[in-house]
Amino acid sequence: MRVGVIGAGPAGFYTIQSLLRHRDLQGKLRSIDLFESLPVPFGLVRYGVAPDHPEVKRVALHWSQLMERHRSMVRYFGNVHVNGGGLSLDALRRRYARDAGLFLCMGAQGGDRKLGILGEEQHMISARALIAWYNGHPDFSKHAFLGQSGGEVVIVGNGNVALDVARMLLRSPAELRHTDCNPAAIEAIEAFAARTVHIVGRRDAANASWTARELRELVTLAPDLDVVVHEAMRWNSDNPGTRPAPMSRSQQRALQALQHHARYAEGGSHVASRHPMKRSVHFWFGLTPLSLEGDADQRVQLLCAPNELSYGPDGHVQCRPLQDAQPVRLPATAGAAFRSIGYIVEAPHGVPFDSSRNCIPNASGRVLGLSDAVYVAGWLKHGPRGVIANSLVDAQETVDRFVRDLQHRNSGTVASDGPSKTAEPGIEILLERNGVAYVDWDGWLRIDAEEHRNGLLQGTDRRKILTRAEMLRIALDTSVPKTDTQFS
Amino acid sequence: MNVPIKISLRALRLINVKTPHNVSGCSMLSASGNWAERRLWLSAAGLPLSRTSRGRGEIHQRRWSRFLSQEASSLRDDANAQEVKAVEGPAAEVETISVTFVDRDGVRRPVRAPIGSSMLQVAHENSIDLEGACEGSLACSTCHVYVSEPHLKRLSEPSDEENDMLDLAFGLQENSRLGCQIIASRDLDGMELTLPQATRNMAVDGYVAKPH
Repeated sequence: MRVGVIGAGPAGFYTIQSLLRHRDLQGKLRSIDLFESLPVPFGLVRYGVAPDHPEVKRVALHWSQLMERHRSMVRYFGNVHVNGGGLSLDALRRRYARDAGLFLCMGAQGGDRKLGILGEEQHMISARALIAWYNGHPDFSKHAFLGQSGGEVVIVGNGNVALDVARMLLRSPAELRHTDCNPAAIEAIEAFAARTVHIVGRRDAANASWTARELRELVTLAPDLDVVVHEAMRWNSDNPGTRPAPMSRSQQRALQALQHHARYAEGGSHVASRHPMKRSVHFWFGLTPLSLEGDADQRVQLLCAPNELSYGPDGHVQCRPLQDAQPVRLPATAGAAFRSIGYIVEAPHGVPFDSSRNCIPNASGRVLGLSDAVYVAGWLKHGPRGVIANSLVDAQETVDRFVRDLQHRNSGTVASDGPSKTAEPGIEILLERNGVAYVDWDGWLRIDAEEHRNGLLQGTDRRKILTRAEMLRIALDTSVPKTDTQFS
Repeated sequence: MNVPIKISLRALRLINVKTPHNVSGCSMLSASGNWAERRLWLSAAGLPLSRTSRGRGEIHQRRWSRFLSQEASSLRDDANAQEVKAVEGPAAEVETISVTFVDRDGVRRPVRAPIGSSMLQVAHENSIDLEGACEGSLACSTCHVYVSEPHLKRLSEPSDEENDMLDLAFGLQENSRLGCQIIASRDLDGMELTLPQATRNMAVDGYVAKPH
């Protein structure tokens, strides 16, 4: 049985791991083909996790070892953009989803959510793009973010991505030099020299989406960092019969961390830092962004309305901007206003999409509404949220469902392998015929070794290759030595 | 304090025991006077490098001895145990306690855990399916286990960092801990660790809409 997996990020690798480990699949799989649109694997572990979190990226070593142990079984096809020329999803469905299974693990490809406010297109930058830039993503590595000096930052959003951006901009460049951060980004962050960071959310602190670890890391980042909380909202108490939903343990602990490390500003207006020599992080709760205005001073102003908060019938907090209240103006250096309010899932052509849930409709991972065996794992399955560990549990569930479907189809057992019905050419031949220069696992290991060598010369573990062309040059040049993963 | 290259050659002998086909890489290390190359091979081998002179590819002594004892204990039951002893003797004599892992299918797996080793290491040495994605660096929750009642009380309170990760663990309970933070000691003898049943028979739609 041959299965296909699209997307070599956390969901893809944990799907492969779950397939390889599943008791009822032992000896039944002939091959797993893994397709990735970039030449290099690991998705958001490589291009999403912040460079100053190398311990989180260690999971990639596990996946490398997995690939090494199952070299004969798992084949990697990097630089293969499904539906992007060369290989269509329909072709992959015909190949894998008729008799076995095709797993979609591409994550949230639809970009990031927008605020929809005046001045956004001109003055606001997607945090996702900034993250891809400082992580050296080939499609973003040559951007020139943070070009204007001034040191004032506004970030709209109350999740871990917003905290990542704040922390990276406040992190000392000396520390960043020992990471795999894009060198151009380190230079820009140093030149920008962030002094004031405003983090803006519509709800209250208790209902923020971040986790305690990331919050504590930011508020304890440096001794010269003043952490100030501003609560701009008004609570509507004449809304009887509704009570707040109980806080999760994570929410409680994040709130405690904030209360412990921050001081609360008096009143809702913009308060100058008590310590003029210090850098500061300002948390603004209960504000709805209204518009962004540029001024002659190479600055932008984010205009926000204070919210009236109340609890809805389900116990979740609801926000309504107050029309009569004095708006709050938050200043940012031009090019340093970021939005980070979530990612958008995009279903590939021919696959249903549930826009209200921002995911592909599925039952335990089996895509609903398709007659062939197409599965989803990760962000495509449940929407773009959750940490790497969630995708492990999630992939196991999807693979469990895949096995149950197989057993159902074959009345109780998983057939070892049917007679080869496909008169189709091998996938490599198909790719070559369509002119796709794909990168195999050895090709990636050449890039990996080159990145390690470059890192060594600059006092860090890895310096990423920043363009697709260079990646392909190294991957396809068999004279370049590759990392021997059996060594680790 | 840094240990010169002499000891790293011992490390390579140790690795040779496990992966003899890497001799070419090892000899490259010993032959090379180039610190960059040396560091490449040391980090590729997963050897603990000194923080203070990371650039030079030297080995951090304390982390190095911990590494050695971990490696030695993981190889103790190996057919190559004799060779390991020749490399580093003392770790082979470590006292052990009895620990039982209850896996996701409810099967009990009694194992011996060397005093001082983490339950994540013990699980891996005994091929128990405990994930450990961040290798015990408190950056994930994948080595989450439930600890048997009498032994739970004997563990020290979880740190903030451990609690931060437990926040994100699947199926959190009162007796949840991270396997990488439970270190075998005499008073934990007889401990039972249950792996959370993450996936079996989960509801068709586990999705809970979150407001924005």
